[in-house]
Amino acid sequence: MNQSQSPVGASPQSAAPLASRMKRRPTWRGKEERIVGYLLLLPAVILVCAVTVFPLLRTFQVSFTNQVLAEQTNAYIGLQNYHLLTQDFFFKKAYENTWTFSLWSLAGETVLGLLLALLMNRSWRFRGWLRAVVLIPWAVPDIVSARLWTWIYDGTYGVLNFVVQSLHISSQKVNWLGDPQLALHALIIADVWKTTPFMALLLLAGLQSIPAPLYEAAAVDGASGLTAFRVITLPLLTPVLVIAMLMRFLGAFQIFTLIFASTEGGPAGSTETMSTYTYKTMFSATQFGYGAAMAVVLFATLLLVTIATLAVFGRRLNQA
Amino acid sequence: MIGRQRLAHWQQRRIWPALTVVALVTLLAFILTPFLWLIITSLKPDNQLGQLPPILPQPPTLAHYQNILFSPFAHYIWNSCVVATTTTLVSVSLGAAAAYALGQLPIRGKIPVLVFFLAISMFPPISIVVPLFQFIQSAGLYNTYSGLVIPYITFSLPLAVWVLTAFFREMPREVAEAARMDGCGVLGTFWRIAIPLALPGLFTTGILTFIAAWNEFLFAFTFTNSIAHQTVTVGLSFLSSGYYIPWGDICAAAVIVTLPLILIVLIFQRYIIRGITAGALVG
Amino acid sequence: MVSKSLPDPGSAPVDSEKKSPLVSTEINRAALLKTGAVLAAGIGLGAKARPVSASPAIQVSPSPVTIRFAGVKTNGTQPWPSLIAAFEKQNPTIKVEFIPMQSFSESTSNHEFLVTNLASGSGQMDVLTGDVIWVPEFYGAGWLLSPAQYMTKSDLAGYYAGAVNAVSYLGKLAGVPWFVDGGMLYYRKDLLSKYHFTAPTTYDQLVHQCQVILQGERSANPNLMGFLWQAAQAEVLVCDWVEFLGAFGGSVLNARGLPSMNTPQATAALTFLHDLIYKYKISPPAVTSMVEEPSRIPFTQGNAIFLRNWSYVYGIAQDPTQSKVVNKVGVVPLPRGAGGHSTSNEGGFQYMIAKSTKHPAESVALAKFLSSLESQVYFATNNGFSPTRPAVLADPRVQQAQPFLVKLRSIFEHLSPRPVSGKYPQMSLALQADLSAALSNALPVNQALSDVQLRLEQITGQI
Repeated sequence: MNQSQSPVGASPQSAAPLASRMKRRPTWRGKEERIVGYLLLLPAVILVCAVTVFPLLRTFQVSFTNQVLAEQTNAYIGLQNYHLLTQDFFFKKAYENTWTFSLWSLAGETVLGLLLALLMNRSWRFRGWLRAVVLIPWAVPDIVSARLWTWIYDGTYGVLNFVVQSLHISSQKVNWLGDPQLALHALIIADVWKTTPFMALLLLAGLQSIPAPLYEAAAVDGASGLTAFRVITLPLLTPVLVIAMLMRFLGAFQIFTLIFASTEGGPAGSTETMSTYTYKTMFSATQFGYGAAMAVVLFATLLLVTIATLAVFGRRLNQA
Repeated sequence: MIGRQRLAHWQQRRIWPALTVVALVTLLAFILTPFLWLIITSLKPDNQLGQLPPILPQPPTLAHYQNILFSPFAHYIWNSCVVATTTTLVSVSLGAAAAYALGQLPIRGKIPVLVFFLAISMFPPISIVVPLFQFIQSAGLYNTYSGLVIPYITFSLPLAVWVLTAFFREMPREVAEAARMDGCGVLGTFWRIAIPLALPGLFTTGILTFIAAWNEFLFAFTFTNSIAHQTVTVGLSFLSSGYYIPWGDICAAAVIVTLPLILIVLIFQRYIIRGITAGALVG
Repeated sequence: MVSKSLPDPGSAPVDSEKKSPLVSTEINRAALLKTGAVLAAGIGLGAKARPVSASPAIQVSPSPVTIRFAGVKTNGTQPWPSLIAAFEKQNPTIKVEFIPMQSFSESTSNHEFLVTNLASGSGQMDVLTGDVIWVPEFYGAGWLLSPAQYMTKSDLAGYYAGAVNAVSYLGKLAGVPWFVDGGMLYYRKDLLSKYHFTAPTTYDQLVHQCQVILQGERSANPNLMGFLWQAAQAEVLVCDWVEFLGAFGGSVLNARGLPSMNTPQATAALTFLHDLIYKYKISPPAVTSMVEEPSRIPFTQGNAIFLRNWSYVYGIAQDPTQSKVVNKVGVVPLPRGAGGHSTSNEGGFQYMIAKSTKHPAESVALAKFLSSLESQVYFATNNGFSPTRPAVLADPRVQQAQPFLVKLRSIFEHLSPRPVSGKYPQMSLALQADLSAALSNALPVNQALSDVQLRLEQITGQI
């Protein structure tokens, strides 16, 4: 091949002097790659568009109406729904709860997931078994997990109270899911249990993509484990870590089954999240317009978080 | 200086492994104990279900497993298998193609495309279930496998695209360049070089997608109405009758439903090979 | 305001559809099924104005008709296969396709399922079963066909007046009655007689009995609790509230239909409930996480003296594979408080016809069959459902199989419904939130009541 052509995509710094002239004009290979790139992208984009564009646009449209199914109202009211949301005490509480839940859950599952991934990355003989066993919480269906934790946390016959009382940590049965101070945190722990495997598995895959020679070189240079972690692991793991955290944040922010199958948003709205409140508004109260506005607010929040993440980490993610 | 090195050496040989084992055992205990409780509950006779002590069933009973296995529950499992497998295969293949383009090829507008893919999963499913239902109905897909697979794909595609993009981005361009130098076309590089190198990411994404599709409830429940196409999560919710929630049966069904997933992971995990090896870089 | 009189089927049509003269006269079931069904299908089809998407081919001539029935999952042996088979045998041209719905405990899922289907006009079901509180909502949304034209005066006279009210909205018949249920007080006969008590008729007695028994039984059973009910932030809390509020002489809406939660009666009731948990301590704080089953399980395990719950508990309490208190459980109407009377909240499910149905006559025929005397006797003996026809409890088969139902007929004949309004779902959510806040000590009682009063006024448009 023509040795004087610069590799496509190489940054200016690494280009040969001749290539810097070439860079301005996209090479044939560059064009070919671009076209094939779009073609590879097309099926996914078309599929997503075909199925989701109508529901999404519909939700936006409905959010500007006062549609209440049970009353057969359906008139355009502009931004009134959004205005009502700013005055809705329970919506604000749900929004706050959702942030609390998401951030704590994310913190818990990231720390535990990273720890687990690092532990599993060593050359254990049983790594295969470990990987499968660790996946169990993620594999248990949401509804079962929610019911299981409700069963464990039950205030009169739950096993956690039995353990807590047997170990004399508390003399009374603890009202895990009936106390507004405790309920959300109890559910956060349940969510961390369920989602740690997701993080662990993704981070493990990411860890395994880090070439072993790098660690060997570091060991030869006398670097300690912690230094190697700080200098090699963390930077190279960052793309996968950031993406895993972003996906998990989006998932945690939309938590639904865990809450609905256990406390339904109670007690006293302490576990009400955006999704449960939207669900109740749209389907229990059949206020489709108001509920759609909530969905749009949820969407906007997540969009902003995504854009912010990309803005901060975009360059790191773009590094080849 | 020498003393410190010797101490560090000793640390590495004794303390770190011990700490590692302790940490691993603690984490495993956290992960497994609730599942253990699930299994114990599934073996308890009904009239001991609300009572503690005893912790262990006295005597253990297989009645709950019999209730599940000798019922049409297997239909639900089969349906879930079909739907989840199809969803996974399509998501991972479409997602890998898109991710390779986004991760390695010089196309424009990567950020907007990535955000676009994620946008669909930023809407709570409940807010789009009615228009989606109308769409599924009018497309004649109500109560079919496709009626589930298609919505599932659109929700698992973002996961596949984002995760795989991260993996493909990390792939050093030199490897692809070497292949190009040797005469491989873009697609050839994709198929013969990039895919094998991204195998850890592909199988991980596949497993996570499979499980996410397996566990979905809202669409499975809303877009089907007969056992011919309902999935396992819907089947589980049908175990309740009246107000009565049969904890024993539900736990037994959960065990029956979860263990095959674990087995699948066990079988496929040996394909999650260690990533880029020295050989690939040198050659 | 809201007219609660029985709709007169002979009067002017209440819906906008045109009525054929053939079907508005006195119709006897056999005639309807044998000849009217086919004819009415043809005529009814022509009279139907609503277009339906994705519709199957429709036969006008006397050939088979298929209707779809969405039936909720009951407790015990499922009644639908036998009943549907019996209906099909009586009506060889009608085939019923059964769509399984979830159980009562999955009420929210069922509601979502029905709303999604009905709102999209999908035509996926012709006859459906729904919670009694959904009748105003679905009818107000225009999703239901009124069976009034197919129901004669004598048909309706066979039901309790309360049952017909339960399926009516704004003076129009919106469904066909199925079964009703009410809250009742379960108690441990053995414990009460050990301490020489009889079943309490006032809450003061109940509190006193709990205190004495708990004190006496502390050493034998430290896990024993006094009075279990449901205070989770869920629909059942509103059911409990209607009962306790009535026991203290109040009601959610007053006689003029306006919210009356800022009354002394409401304060007395909510304060009493709060005291049950925090002052008398005969209800565990965990009631704020209890719906029906989490409160039933400790009772049938022998760890509670009193339980407020629906009628389904009795069957479980007498089942040795489930219960540790077989033959130790008694049931009476709920006690009254100061200034009130014993109140039992109306639960239960009813049959409704989807407006999008292509076979209205056949659909109503199915609903009427499932609501007939024979079917209700079957429901009573097979599943323990309390009937909506007085004749059922007089039937010797029911008297022999379910003496419990017969004994408590006074409860079922005097049930208090939750507010009947298209806006009830919103009212329910507001009530659930504020009552739960008061009972879990997140808000003081007075503040919770004034807050919910304000919200109810906003919802009902008073403000």
